[in-house]
Amino acid sequence: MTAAMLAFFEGNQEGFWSILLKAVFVENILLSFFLGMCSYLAVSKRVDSAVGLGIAVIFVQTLTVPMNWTVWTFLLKPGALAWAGMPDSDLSYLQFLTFIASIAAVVQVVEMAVDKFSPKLYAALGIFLPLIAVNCAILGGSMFMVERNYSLTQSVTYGVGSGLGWALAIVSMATIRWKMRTAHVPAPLRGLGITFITTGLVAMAFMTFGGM
Amino acid sequence: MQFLRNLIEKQRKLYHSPDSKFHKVWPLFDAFETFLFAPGHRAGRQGVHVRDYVDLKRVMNTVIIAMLPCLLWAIWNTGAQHFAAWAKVAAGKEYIVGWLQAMFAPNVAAPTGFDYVIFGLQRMLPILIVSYGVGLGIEMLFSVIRKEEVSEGYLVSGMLIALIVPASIPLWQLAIGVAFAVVLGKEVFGGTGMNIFNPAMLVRAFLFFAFAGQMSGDMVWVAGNNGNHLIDGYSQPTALAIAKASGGLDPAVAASDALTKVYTHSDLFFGNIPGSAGEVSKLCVLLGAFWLVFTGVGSWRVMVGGVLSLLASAFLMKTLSGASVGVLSLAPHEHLLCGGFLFGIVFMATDPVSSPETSIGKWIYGALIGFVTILVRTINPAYPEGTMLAILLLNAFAPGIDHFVVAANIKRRLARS
Repeated sequence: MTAAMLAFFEGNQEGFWSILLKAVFVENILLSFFLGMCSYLAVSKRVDSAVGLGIAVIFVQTLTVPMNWTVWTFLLKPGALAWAGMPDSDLSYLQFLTFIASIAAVVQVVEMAVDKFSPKLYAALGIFLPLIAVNCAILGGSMFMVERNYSLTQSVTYGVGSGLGWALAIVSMATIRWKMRTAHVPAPLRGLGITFITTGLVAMAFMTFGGM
Repeated sequence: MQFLRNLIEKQRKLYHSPDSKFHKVWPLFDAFETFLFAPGHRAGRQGVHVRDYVDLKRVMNTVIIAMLPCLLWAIWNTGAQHFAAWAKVAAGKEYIVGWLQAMFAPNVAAPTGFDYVIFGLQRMLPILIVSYGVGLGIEMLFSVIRKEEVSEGYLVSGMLIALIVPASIPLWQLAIGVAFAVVLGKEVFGGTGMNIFNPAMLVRAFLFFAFAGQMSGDMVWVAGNNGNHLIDGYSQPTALAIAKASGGLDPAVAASDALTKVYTHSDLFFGNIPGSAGEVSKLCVLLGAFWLVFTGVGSWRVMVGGVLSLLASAFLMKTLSGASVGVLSLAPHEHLLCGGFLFGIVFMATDPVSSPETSIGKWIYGALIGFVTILVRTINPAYPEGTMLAILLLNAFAPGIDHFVVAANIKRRLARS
């Protein structure tokens, strides 16, 4: 096997379940790294839009992390262009630019698909669907993939896991906010204040698998 | 509750009139009745003005009765474990008597049950006082600010907190934990009945993450007479810690074998083991569970769902992994006997505020708690016990479970018409 083919399988040798549980709970991209906070706070006001955006993030994350893995491994990282006869190449300074471009492309496709198949969800998501393109959780997922030296299979797992973690967090928060609509929250804390406090408590609950 | 109501009505004539048999103790009868049922409330058979005998205060009283066996056992067992450990390390050490023991001169060489109780009270009373004092103080402050009545919800939380921390907990840490949970877990959400997370569980989780050294490990489960620890370095692992460590031994052994070498099954069941103060005795928890189910205050759906799911998940993990050594090999019924799961599912998970309100939701909620508990116990190398975090995690999802159960119900009924 060539070195490039090996990269499909090797990576950092971390197991499937460990990556998945870590991405969903312990290193939850939202509750532990605070990525994707703006859409989380804005869209968690309604349960059905939260579910919609959650599914959209899972979908986009699952597509973009492996896609950016491919771009990174075969074009950008130091020595990646060895297959084209340029072993000294180092295009890693293009990382942000390329990652964002590929994320934007995927989001564009998802947006058209949602518009076509579920206009109701498209209307509910409104501006937030195109905003996924600049959602830091999505870019963050790809950056973690590079930083942790995942293989292709690992990056698929990580994409699904981190998307799922984000979706679980926003759906849980949306339903909690729904339950809290009748609570006597002190006036200064109503709205974003109590949401931030709740987010902190939910983050503590997500530590269930901490230490894995 | 109706059964109790009828019983009390039947007994009333024995106490009420001045010439009846037990009239001398009528105040006691009256006190007991009003402890359980609100006075002057008659549930009308007709009309819309139905008032129940059972209000919030009485529900809380019922739960406190359910916790009494656990509390009494906590007092006894704290002393029993202390003196058993002392007998092991006693050689040449000076015994330092505590504030309560000083009044009763403990018989350290051959401690009796009385010495156990005195030592247990010496540890548990300050814990209860701090838990109630700090918690109720904050509740009263907020009630004054909000101009609301002080509600009774904290009476249960305060005792739960005392039962789920190790008896060796430093009181200042407990005070910080209680203040955190009551302010940020309860009062900012609007007080009793509005909280998302169980306040008692939040106290424990806060202490667990903030002061891990005093909340986990092998050193903290036996209360000492000298500071927090009996003597420096005295270590007495809990049942689950032993099971967890069994896979890492050389050679690795089956968890059951490692466990039964230290604690017999009857020790585990009757609670003759070290652990968080109130959760050790499964018998006392079961007594409380029967009382809660019998009075209808605790949800049997959560309890049954949780226990069945714990047994099934443990069985599946054991069978699928095929492990013969380590914690994966622990038998399902031993998972039930070890650790705080039974206490958690009976007293913490059934909290009507932080658990789902729909019946199907309660089944799902209980079952997921059992499943996550087993998942943490078996595959998370860092934590021996998962009950606390499983319940907190499911607290976060409880409104979600309700939401989707209700949505499915609406969808089903729409499809029918």
